[in-house]
Amino acid sequence: MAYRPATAEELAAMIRDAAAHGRSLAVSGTGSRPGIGPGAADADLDLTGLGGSIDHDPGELLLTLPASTPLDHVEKLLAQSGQCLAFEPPSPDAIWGRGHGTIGGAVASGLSGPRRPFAGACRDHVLGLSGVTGRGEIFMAGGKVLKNVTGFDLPRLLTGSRGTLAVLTQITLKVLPLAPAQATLLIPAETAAMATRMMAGACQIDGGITGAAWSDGQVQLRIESSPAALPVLVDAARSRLPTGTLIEDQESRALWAAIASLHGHLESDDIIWRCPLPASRAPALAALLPPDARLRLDWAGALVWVLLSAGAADLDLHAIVAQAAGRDGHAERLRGSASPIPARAPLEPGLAALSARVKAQFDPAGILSPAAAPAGTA
Amino acid sequence: MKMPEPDAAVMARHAQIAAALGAIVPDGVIADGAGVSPYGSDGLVMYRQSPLAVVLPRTTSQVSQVLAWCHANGVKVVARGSGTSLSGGALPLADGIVLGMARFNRILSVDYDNRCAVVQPGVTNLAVSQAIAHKGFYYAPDPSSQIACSIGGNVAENAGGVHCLKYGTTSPNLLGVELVLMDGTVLRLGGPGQEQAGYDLLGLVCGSEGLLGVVTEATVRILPKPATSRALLLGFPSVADASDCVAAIIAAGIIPAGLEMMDALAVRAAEDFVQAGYPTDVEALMIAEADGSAAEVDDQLARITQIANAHNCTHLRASSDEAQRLLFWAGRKAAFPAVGRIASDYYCVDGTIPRRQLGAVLGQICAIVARHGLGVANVFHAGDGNLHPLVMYDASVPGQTEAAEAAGAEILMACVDAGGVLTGEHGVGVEKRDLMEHQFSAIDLEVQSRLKCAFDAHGLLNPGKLFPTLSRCAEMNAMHVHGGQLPFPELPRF
Repeated sequence: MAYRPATAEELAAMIRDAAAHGRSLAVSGTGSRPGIGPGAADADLDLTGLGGSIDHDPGELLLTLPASTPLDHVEKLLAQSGQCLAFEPPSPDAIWGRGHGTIGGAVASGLSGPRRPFAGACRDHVLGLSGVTGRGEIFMAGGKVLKNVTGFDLPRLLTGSRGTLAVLTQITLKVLPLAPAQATLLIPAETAAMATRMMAGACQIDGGITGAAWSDGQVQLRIESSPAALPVLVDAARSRLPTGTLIEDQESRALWAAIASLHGHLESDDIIWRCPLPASRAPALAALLPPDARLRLDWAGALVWVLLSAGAADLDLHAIVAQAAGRDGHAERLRGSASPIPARAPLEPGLAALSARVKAQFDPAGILSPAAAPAGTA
Repeated sequence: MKMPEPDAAVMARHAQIAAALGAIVPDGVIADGAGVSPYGSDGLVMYRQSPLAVVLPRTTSQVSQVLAWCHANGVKVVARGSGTSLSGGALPLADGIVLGMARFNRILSVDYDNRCAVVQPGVTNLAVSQAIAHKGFYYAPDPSSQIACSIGGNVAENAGGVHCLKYGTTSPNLLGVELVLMDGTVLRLGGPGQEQAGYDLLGLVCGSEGLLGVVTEATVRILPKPATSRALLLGFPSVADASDCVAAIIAAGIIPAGLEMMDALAVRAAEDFVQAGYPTDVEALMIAEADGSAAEVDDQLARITQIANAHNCTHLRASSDEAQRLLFWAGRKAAFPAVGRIASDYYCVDGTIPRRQLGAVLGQICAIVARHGLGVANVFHAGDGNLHPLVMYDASVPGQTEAAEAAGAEILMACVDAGGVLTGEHGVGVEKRDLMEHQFSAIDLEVQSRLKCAFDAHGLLNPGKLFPTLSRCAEMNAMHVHGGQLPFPELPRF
């Protein structure tokens, strides 16, 4: 069974109907993120028919658009005005091979790209939204201005809630100027420990760094600025760091798009674990992994990707991250295997209980993407 | 402003409550009338209410025990940092206690590798930056009250400052908190990493105005200090020219570190007070600050200068050194007390509008204030459209306080009608509580206020703030809203 509403009113009526019959809904856009998507449910709720107009106001740094807008369309539209989504929403295409998805999916998943430690996360750029609760109520939250503290911050709460609290129909985002010039320093670093130390050092100085990643024995440091200032910043960084090579402009942009999405980093059947933790704990995590696990660091080490070949045994990254970072890190398997290790670990009990109460206020019948709710809240 | 009806039974147990809490926090309970009086008001001085008692805990365990006891005994709690709220966020309740967090005054650790600091909530905003300055770091949010306001209060209000356009308010600079729920449960949300598992409860708690829990520890993001910061003073013959200049700077793809504006009255008041070197023959003065490497700063200021000249800028001065830059800011940061010198009293209003509406809304502000027979000086965070009209009145003249409040409410409604919001950084508190329905539908408010039930089902934490009606959690799950009409329309507003 599938619902495909064309308006918010139809959507609200369908949700009320589903709630009345206790029928769970798999909330999805184009289905581009199956690994963190809605999972199994009694019926599909396909949001791609929910249209609406796009209002991009470059001078106000605002973009309001339907949740169903394709993500690649958003990025092209903004680029025409020299703007961008500063949190660099990662394209899900390389991981799941089902296209780039929608802006609604990007916000619902809440994932942030390489600029996260420098320009903020996805949740920091969602200013307002409209949606429908699991009770079938049409509501709006936040606003269409840059600075707003009126009421509870539902835009942040709903960002990353994976369609389990409410169904988003319209989103207002803060958009920022795209730095006109960029370059990336590529510096050899054999181990995750050496890379983490180098990146931490580079980030302790105000030098225009907007990306710090490591893969294949090489640290990548992105610097963005105006054309006039970029060479000065690059020279300053080079004077402080070990010798490396420099790539610029399009080559640099392509590199970071690949770092964000893992494009070109994956074998077709890799098991993919995503592990946010304090950057200084990344070396401890690396030391606990078997030699055939491939590592990618982003966010200056605060995001560790662990890639396992399909033939290799799956690893319990929950336990390994806990050993490396205590309660300060967590892990999620985005893709892979039918292994008995769960994709997400349960939240600690107090947090799980509170999360379940929050879920119940939005969706008392528990019908919105029940399988995607934070582990331990069901 | 109507607050929840005090519970006479709770007030009658005053002595018992003080004794029970004194057993949890020895040497930390003030229960006599003279002792609690200083806690009767915060930065919104129009309102005053002495609490039943003031409790000054030292440890998370004490906070947890105090809240659990109050939860079990039906006693309301208002948490308080430094008491600088401009929206009445820390206004006490007659039948509740004030939980003063001033003794939580230590910076617990600084982690330069992960660029974060763990601080107790009573630490002042400025003290965080001061403690890490020797390593070349700082904490970005900088409300004008930063010498006094506390990090706990900043978290409760999602406090802003003059550098928000580039660096954000408190929320993007907050990585984690230790939070105590009303029933005494101690939770950790977020931490030194960059992302938490599960729902973004940290994002929800920041800016929740003390309604969801009490913060006993905060992990904040710290940044390396910009290599260079320089400011431009730009004078304009009209507010319209200055507003157009702001729009043109943003449209040119420049995000200055700060972009502030003051109208003629505010400029003259600040100059008389601080002697910042402001030109006093302009109708609008802008401070534009660039930070970063010297090359970036030079480049940005040159472009801003060019844009300003194209917008009839009549005075232009760049700070020549750090002392002068700080002096430029000293005038702006002292604008409120400066207006306090030319008016017996002033009422600071806080709304945000789409920037392009600035001229129109300013016209409305002048008309509204004139209609109430009062004067106004205007200070704006121009880059992000956040307005601070300072309505001048004389509290000793009967009717003027009420007139100032009425003018403030009309100004905020004008902000909402222009596509903006009621508060950009000061919070709703008691001040704007009854205006919330002007911005949000009944359902919008219902969706928000239900969250109170998930955190504090008995409504004991800071009730009477933020939402115009009480949440009735027990009924709420069975509640249905039809056609925008809340059930129980006869329920009293408090």
